[in-house]
Amino acid sequence: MNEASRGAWGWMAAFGLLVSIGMSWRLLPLRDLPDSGRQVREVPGLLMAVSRSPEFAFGFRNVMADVVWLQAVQVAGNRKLTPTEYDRLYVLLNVEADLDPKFEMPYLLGGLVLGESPQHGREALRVFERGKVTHPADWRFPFHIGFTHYFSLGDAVAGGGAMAEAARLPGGPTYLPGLASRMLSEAREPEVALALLAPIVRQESDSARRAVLERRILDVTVERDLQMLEKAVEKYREKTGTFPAYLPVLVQDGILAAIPEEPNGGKYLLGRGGKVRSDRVSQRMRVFQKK
Amino acid sequence: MFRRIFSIAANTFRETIRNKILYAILAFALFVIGMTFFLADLSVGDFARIIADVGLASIHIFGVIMAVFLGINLVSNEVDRKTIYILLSKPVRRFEFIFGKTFGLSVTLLLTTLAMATVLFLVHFSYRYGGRAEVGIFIASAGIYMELVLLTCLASLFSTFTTPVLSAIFTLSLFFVGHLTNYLYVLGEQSKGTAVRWGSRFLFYLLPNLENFNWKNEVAYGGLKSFSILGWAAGYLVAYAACVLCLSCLLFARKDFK
Repeated sequence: MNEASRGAWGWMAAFGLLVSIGMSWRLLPLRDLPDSGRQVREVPGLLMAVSRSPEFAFGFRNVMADVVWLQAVQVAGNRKLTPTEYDRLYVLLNVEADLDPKFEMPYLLGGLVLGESPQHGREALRVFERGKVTHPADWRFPFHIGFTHYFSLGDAVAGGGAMAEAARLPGGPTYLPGLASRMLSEAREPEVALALLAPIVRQESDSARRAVLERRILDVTVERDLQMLEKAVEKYREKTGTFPAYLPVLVQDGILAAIPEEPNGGKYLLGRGGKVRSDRVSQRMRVFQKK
Repeated sequence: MFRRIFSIAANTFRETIRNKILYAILAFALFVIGMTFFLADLSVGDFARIIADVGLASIHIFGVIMAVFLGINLVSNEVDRKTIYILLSKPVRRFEFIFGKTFGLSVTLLLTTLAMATVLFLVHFSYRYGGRAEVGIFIASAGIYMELVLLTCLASLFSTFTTPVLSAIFTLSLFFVGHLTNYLYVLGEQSKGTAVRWGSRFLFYLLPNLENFNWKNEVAYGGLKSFSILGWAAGYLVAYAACVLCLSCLLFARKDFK
């Protein structure tokens, strides 16, 4: 091949490329291009089939899991997800977990995103539960389970229980036992909160954390006493038709055996409308929730 | 004997290293590994994991392509070009030819795997979000290399008695089966029939277990820290490869070149 013919082949190749670019440009508006994951509704067929029998990944499980995870990120990354997209995200997270159960990020992030949807709280829980099975020593999974129970499903008892479970695991932040007891207290079961906190305090070896926990026990005890006193006030009102003037009236009337001692060294005081408060605790235990 | 094996290995190495297809595959592999640097940005959290997973998968896939398509031509090329007659007319025994050929290709694969692993290591190290000097990349790559050596032995076995196309089909089939043998064992153990259980155990030990060399998953979780874990796998490779090469020598010794 001489120099001239080589040049001719080169020009022809360049011309061919130019024509193909023109064709491609002409075809562009004629095709439906998904601008985001929003329009892609299909589930990962082949990868889903492989995920059911991961041995058929032939040693490429991780990379397949990554492909599914990247798809899930594209779906979850949309500003506002439709119910169909939440469904698809749930499927993708399960496929990913089948392929690589140890990868923790999909459980944590995917579960949180699913929990944002009012209709997908249960799916979010299932995602976190799967993560918890694979990472039983990681406090974040029961923590997020508790979070979802409380904030997505409105189940304070289950939420507090999961938070207490997270608090028992190593590495968790110091506020977890407090959060657990606050949730349970708001569910008007401070006795349960106290029962959960007691073993946590006993197992705590760090003095700073133990001090925080002991303060929390005092708070829960106050909440328990306040609820008990408020019930007694209500009983008095039902009996006499008026609120008592002072708390000792409840003892005099035989409704209570004694007024409990305020564990912080203060006093319980009766307020307007039958509400009871402690002079040492300014705020009742309640997990604040913006709705 | 060792000198003759070494001479054949050196020639095979020179021959394969000059193969343009090898460079094309290697260049594409390096390109894909390099692209993981940008692919990882698509993830959320654990960015470097994407680089390690996709990079090691690339080393694996392209390594298998190299091992199979170079391995199947190990013997058949010499037969097609009639150079086998010249070789065997010299004081070269047939097993020396097989051993030399396999060893030569193994050295080529060692260099290409090392090149790919080094590039992946550098990409992983230089990644801005969580990149680190991950020695596990080299350990997992060593596992991949062991698998490639075993595939080369299998390819050379098939190339002693069949055509390159059939050799490629057989070797690739064993590659897939080799990653399913654990599953075969588990399925067999779940069976209530004694014959099925023993049959699956027999196949489990007979067929190559390529999952013995698979440590890609551990790299993603930083679990690979020491080359010492390669010991048992290396032992398995030596034993199984010796078995396959002996079978190759046996078949090749019985081959009639008249």
